[in-house]
Amino acid sequence: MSILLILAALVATIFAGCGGAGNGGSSQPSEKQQASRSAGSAGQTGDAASSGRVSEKRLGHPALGSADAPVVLTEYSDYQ
Amino acid sequence: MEPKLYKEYVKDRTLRIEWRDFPYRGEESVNAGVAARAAQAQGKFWEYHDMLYDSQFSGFSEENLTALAREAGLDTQRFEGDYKSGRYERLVRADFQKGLNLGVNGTPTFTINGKRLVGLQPVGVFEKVIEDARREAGGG
Repeated sequence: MSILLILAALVATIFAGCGGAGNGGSSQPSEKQQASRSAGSAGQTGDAASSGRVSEKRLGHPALGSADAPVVLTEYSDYQ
Repeated sequence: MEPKLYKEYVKDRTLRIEWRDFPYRGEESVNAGVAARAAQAQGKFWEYHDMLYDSQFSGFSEENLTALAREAGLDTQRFEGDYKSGRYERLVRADFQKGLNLGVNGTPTFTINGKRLVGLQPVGVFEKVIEDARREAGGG
C-alpha cells in the first residue's frame, strides 16, 4: 500500500513538473514580447538618430570652446 | 565675436563663448534666431550666424533665410521643416525671456564670468576682462 502511495506521489510530481514546464513555456512568449518592445524602442531611437533630428533639449546653447574653460563669455545678441 | 579672441583664448581652452538669443527688435529678429537654431540642428550654427550678419540689410524673410540655408549647404527641406515646427522658436523666446529677467535691455550684451559689458567694445576691453577672470579663476 505504501509502495502504491509512493508511486502515486511520484506520478503526481512528474505531472506537476510537466505543468511547470508548460508554465515556463507560456512565459517564453512574454519574454519575447518584452524583448520585442525593447527592440522596438531601440528602433525608434535609432530612427530618430539616423534621421539626424536633434531634440529641443539636446540642442542646447550654441557655443565655442571647451566646456571646462575657466572663463565663460555669454553673448546676448540678435541679428539686426 | 572678435576672431582675435577666438585665436587667443578659445583655442587654448581658456575661454568658452556661449550664444543667447535676444531678439528684441521684433519678429524678423526672432525669425533669424529660429533659422540659426535650425542650422545648428545640422551642425552649422556659426556658419549660418556669420551669414546672417553679412546679409542683415537684405532682411530676414523666410525666402531669404532659406536661400542662406541653401548657400550654407544645409538640407533645405529639413531646414524649412525645423524652421516652421515651432520647436526652435520656443528656445529663442526662452533665451529672450531669460535675458530680460537678468536685466539685459539691448544688444550686444556680454557677461564674462558674471562681469557685464554692454555694447560693442574694443577688443582690448575684452582681453583685459578675460585676463582678470582667468587670474581670478586660478588659471594664471
